[in-house]
Amino acid sequence: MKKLLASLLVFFLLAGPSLAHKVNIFAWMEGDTVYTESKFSGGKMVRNGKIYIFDQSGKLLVEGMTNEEGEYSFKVPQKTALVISLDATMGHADTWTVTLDEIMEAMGDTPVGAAAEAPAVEPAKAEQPAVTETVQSAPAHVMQTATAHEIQIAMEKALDKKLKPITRMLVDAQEDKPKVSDILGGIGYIFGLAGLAAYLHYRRKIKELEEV
Amino acid sequence: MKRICLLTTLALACLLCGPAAAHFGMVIPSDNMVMEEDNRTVTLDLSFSHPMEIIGMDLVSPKSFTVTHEGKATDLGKSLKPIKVIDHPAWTADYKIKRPGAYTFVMEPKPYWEPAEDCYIIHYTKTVVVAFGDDEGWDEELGLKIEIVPLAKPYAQYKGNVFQGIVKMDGKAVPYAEVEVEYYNKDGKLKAPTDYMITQTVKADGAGVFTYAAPFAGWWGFAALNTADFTIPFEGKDKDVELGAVLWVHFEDF
Repeated sequence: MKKLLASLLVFFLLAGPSLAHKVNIFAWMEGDTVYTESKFSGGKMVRNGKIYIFDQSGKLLVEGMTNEEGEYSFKVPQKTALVISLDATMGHADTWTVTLDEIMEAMGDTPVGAAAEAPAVEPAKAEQPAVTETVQSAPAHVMQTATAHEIQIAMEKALDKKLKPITRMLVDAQEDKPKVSDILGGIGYIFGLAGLAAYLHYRRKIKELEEV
Repeated sequence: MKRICLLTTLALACLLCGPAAAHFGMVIPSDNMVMEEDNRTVTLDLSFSHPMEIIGMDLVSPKSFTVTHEGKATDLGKSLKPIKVIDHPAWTADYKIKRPGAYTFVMEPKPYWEPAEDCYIIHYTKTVVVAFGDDEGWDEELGLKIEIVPLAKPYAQYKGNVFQGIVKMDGKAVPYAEVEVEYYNKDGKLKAPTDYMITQTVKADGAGVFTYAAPFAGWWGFAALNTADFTIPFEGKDKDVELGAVLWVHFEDF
């Protein structure tokens, strides 16, 4: 009996936590980037969790690590379904599959090439809004062989890059109430200041007119 | 003699309380645990019915229909389309789930005039849908006028599990609140052995906590009832308002 209890205890010590703190990974597409979020069932984010991205045949395509907020993002390496696997150690693991349909819906005809230019393998940097990356100007050779189509592609690429932090911000804003109010508040300020400026301007004008 | 007395009292009680079966606001999703490979668009059917006997009533366009996710409420009133549930006007809405977590859907109907009970009825009706492995926020109190705050996850229950919730009105627990419980007898297969069994009733304890164990799998509605602290005029006379906090929970077969 005691033995049984002891083995049960050992069993629960081993098996317990993985049940009680199940990890969960979720991924979504935005443009040519896959964003992931990893979380324990209690609500804590998974820090420094290892992320592996495979194609459907099990070939490893990208790997990285979650940041302090449990996030990790990467550019779509190829247009196939992507199996994203999270290993949060201690037997906590979960996978999420981004289907080809989702990738096509988000990327459309945009070539995967964009991903090759900005490798997202460095996890720590990849998560930082790509402010520094965006400084890279659109490839110079485009200027020489400037067909309309190439210019369009280059423009789209550049725009994607420049807009990425903004898209990210908008997504965050959508998910985060205070940020929306921040934005609205900001707009309010703009209107308010514009109004004040107009007031001062016209007051002066009116004075001038009166003096005349 | 004693028996006759009891029967008379019961008969009187039945005459007074009118139809034995209870009204239930209903919000029933097509799926309440959306997994990665499931259809990510959930269809929610809103109605006002007697779920056990499959008797429909008219549900006029609800005053509001919202979903709360991560503490943020979104109005879904515009996505409601008219349908028929049990041959009566009802409403349906599609909602696409994009992120993991708990989604609490709430319908607040316009006051329903019930001549048989000489009162208005307002059932604040909610149900919880969880998605993609996460369910943070399932236990959150939304602050409705009257509300059942679940003490067990209102999904992922096996049949036979005990379910508990706390009845709150204006944010305060309602001691000894009456909670009516009914099964959504969707295909009409079940027949209650007696009329007493159509609606089961439990009362909350002194702290407003009620307990119920569901005997079979399917949708179970819990309706905590209370009289409102306000009245609504009907043909010039002030009438009582029955407030109901309804919560729909699906119990699964093992």
